[in-house]
Amino acid sequence: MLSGLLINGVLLPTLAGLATGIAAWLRAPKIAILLLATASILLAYLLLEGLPALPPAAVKQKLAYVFMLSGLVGLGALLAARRWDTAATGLIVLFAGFCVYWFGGTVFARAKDWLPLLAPTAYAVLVTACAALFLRSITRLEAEPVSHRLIAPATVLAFCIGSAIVALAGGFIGMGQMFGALSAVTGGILLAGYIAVLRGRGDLVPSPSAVVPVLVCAAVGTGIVVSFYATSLNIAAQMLLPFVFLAGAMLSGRGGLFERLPIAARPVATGALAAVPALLAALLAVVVPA
Amino acid sequence: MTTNQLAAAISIAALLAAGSVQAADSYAFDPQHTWVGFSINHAGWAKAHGKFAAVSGQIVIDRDDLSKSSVNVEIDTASIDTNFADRDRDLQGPDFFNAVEFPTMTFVSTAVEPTGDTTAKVTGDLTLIGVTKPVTLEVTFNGEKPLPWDANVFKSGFSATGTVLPADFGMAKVAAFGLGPDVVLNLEVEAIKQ
Repeated sequence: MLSGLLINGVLLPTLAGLATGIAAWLRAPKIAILLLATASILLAYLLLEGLPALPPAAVKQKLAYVFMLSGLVGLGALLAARRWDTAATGLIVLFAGFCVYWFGGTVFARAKDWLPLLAPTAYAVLVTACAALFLRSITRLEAEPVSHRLIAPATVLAFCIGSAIVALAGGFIGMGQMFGALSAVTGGILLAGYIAVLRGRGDLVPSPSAVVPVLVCAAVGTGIVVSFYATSLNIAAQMLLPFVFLAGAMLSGRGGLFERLPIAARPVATGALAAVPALLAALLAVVVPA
Repeated sequence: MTTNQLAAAISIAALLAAGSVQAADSYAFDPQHTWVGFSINHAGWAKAHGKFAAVSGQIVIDRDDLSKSSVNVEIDTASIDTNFADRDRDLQGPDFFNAVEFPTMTFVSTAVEPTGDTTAKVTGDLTLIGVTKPVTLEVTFNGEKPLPWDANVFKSGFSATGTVLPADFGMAKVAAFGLGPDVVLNLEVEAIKQ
């Protein structure tokens, strides 16, 4: 049981992410890298949940189609070229709004009063705002040392790991596993970038503009599912998680703070700082009952 | 047509209608005397047991041709009870019964095959978390008699067993938790004649 989960939920998604990162080594076009990143996320879904029904009936089945939509968001941002940041910000707001409508529609329709809807709606607004700020900050990475570009996937990784722990503690095992697989995909991409940095080949680091929007959208969509459907979610922990994106946004333009560190340590240090809200969220979810 | 002929035609039609109603008797589940239980292998240690507390249904029995009988059952998925509130809450989540999106599961019979004087195989469509699959129940009719305090009200009793594979309905996490693979259903139903 555990070996199957490690293979399907960790190893294979990591390899898929690594393959995406290696495509950057081979100087594949950004669109190709984006498609590989999207395919990696969908592979992770298929390994954990199987083929989704068409039309989808349950929220977990809808998630597969939302992952495809994440790829379209990434593509839309790439096609906007110089206006990448504006496009990415606008598209993620639309994307998150659609997720709230499609995922949360049943919950809204069946709610007997508004109070249970407050927390998931507030989370959706907060995570969208923080993710939009984070995506907007990625353009600053172009002017930063190459090693600092890894802050972008590292931020997503921290968000996914923290979200996995909060989802598992909240009784939503399936989405905990999904976040784990998203972490693995992101980790594979990050690993490829880290190896490139260590080899002094910053030009081979996967472009954040190619991979980060699709990863962020996939993570935001999964987080919205958890916020609406987890049976015993620690709401405080869930509300801390979006601040990982905020931390990443604040660190994006501050690569100079880490220049004194060895090159190998810089991405680790910046990633660790961005992960602080995720660590707090995970601790809260595990220690404090919902 | 004269008035007398019309009156005779209406009377004959009424008699025929009454006759056809009496050939099939309808019963409604007595919710306070209906038990829907299940058991599932728990990682080889023991069989985990549970029940659904909120069940409703209707039975139509055609005594002239039992194969024309039918049964409909509706179960509130949020009423699951496995003697541990935290587990019950998790079982209502999207990984299992997904009670928010699918508040009920239903069984609608499609075929009744008598197998003895008081037994039958009832095949029907079980719809669970949006997926419909055929399931066959082995049903025993335990008898019918009036209520002790009201001789005008008749109640029939049935026992039924069946086996369901949660994976067939998309419950992939059941096996991931070392449960199953199949679930044995046990139904004890007391139904009041309408």
